[in-house]
Amino acid sequence: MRKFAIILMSLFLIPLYGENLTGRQIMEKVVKKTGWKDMEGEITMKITVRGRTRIRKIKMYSRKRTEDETDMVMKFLYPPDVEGTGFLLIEHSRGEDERYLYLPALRRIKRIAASGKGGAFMGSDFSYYDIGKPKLQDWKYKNLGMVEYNGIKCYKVEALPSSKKVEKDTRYSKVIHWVDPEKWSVIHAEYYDRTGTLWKVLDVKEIKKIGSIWFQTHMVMKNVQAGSSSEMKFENLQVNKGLPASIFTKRYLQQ
Amino acid sequence: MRKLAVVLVLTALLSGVDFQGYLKFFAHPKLVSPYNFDRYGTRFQLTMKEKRQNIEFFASFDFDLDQRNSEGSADRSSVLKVYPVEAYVTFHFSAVDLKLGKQFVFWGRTDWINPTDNVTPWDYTNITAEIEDYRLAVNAVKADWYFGLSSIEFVFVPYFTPNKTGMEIPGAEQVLPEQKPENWQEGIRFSSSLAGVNFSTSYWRGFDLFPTVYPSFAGLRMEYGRQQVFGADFDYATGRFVFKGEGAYYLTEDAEGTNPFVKNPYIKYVLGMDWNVADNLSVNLQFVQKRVLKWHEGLMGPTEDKMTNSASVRLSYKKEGFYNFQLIGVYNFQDGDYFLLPVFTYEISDGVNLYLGATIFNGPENSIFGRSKDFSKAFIEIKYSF
Repeated sequence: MRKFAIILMSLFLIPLYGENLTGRQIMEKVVKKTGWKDMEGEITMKITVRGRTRIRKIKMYSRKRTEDETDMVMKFLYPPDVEGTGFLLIEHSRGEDERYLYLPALRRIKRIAASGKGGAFMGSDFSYYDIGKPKLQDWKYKNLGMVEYNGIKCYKVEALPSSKKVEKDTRYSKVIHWVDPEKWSVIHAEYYDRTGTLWKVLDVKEIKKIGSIWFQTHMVMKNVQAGSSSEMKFENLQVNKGLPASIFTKRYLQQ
Repeated sequence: MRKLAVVLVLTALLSGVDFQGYLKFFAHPKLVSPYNFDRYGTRFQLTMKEKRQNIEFFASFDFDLDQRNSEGSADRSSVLKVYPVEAYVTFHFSAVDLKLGKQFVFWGRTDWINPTDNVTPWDYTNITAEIEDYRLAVNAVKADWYFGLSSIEFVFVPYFTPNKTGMEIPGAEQVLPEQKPENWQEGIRFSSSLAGVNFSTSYWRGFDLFPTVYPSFAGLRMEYGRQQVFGADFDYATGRFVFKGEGAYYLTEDAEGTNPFVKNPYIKYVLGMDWNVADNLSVNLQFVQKRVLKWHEGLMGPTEDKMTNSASVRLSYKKEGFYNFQLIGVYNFQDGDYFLLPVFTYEISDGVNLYLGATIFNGPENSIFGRSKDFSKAFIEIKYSF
């Protein structure tokens, strides 16, 4: 009986100890960080293509509508010709996400296609997929073991698209994540295109604890094929302010 | 107007209002002989915004300095034109937004051609890269009431403004509706969402934005007929596609189709889709049909067919976030006439853009776009936004 109890206990305890977590369990910890319900902040994006640099600034609001569904609103602050342009994302765990774009020059809200997440976000090297929260069911994860990256012992997790649709949509045939187990944050990632060639490399330069949660606040994405890079910095990040639901609406988008 | 604009700007400056705007150089060489400039000059647009609690003020003025326009070269004193693009105040209540003043009101979900969109007139003589060049804001009262996923929009426009077509008929008298309560225009639009489909139904009681020309004892008259427009639209997104539709039934003053000088009732609808072909390439394709009801042979004149079919396309291509090419085209199957609007945009630096494009009308002499051939022009614009 005692032996049986020890075996039973060990079975439950296995997932709690580092090496034995599955890839999916690791990514669940990354994606489903508890403790935040909503957040707002400002994003500064520096895009460099063949020596030419452009700056974009955005105000961002996000909230967890349910455990698996997030809403996000982004409003451009800079440059002045696109100021007021707004983007609204309403995620649906079942069914397709809703995406809307408000173009002040046209004074209209336009519904945009739910897929095509591989498209460049604000013309940067980050795609819409990269800036959003991955849907765990879209990927098959595999724990490749513990490795050291920049002096940090972390998990190396391979993610393969669970379907051709996901692969086509994100344009990734494989993503490798380096996950810091202390902060449950991705600190480095490699993205492979549909031919299996290394396409983009993400480096997280800064992770800040806001409230009780660690957030990636400074990231650099390099497109190794095109030779371009994009730097994304979060500033004035605030969590759990109790953002009203009225922010995540088409009405707010055009105000 | 010039003095009023200056006073408003100075007042706004003194009260610490947020300023934005742009400075734009524009040159619009004509694409038809003798290839002179339709327009060239400079525009300074100043936008003032201020939000105090739940009240928002917005005013945007254009200061256009045309060195040459369609009337020919002008001297320095007469070339500066100042006019408000928009000027309104918005009251934001918990579930209602009330907007009063000169504003754009756009209805419909389809691309470029919107049968339900009859509030804001067009300026067909100045189609360029920017919508405020070719749409004319109207003085209106607009209230939006939001509840759940739905909203109801009320629009009231006391005075009618027609489309600017540039195709004035020599000797014809333009007769606008008198400014009196009987000629007020009003409409209502209900929008909602169900099972991933966004949809609207609308009703508009206004005037036809295009005139009807008919002979009278005094000569030719161009009048704008009363009409009621019952409309509906929808969009639905799946995968890389967004399917869209919009249609309207136009009830004119000649419900029975017996008066040859008043337009018959008609139906116009658009069905189409946006397709994200690739991450940097999207295409919109639409089919447009207009059906004249109560149609009788010979009564509608040679330019009004019982049924007209057209198609439109919009192609957008982006490269590296700095280059953007867009092509809009409309083709009428009956007469084989077409309209093209290619625009290339290059972001020179943050907030500085170069636009190169053209507005091309072509087709047989008596067709819709064929008649506008002389308005074909190229445009080169450099815009600095601040």
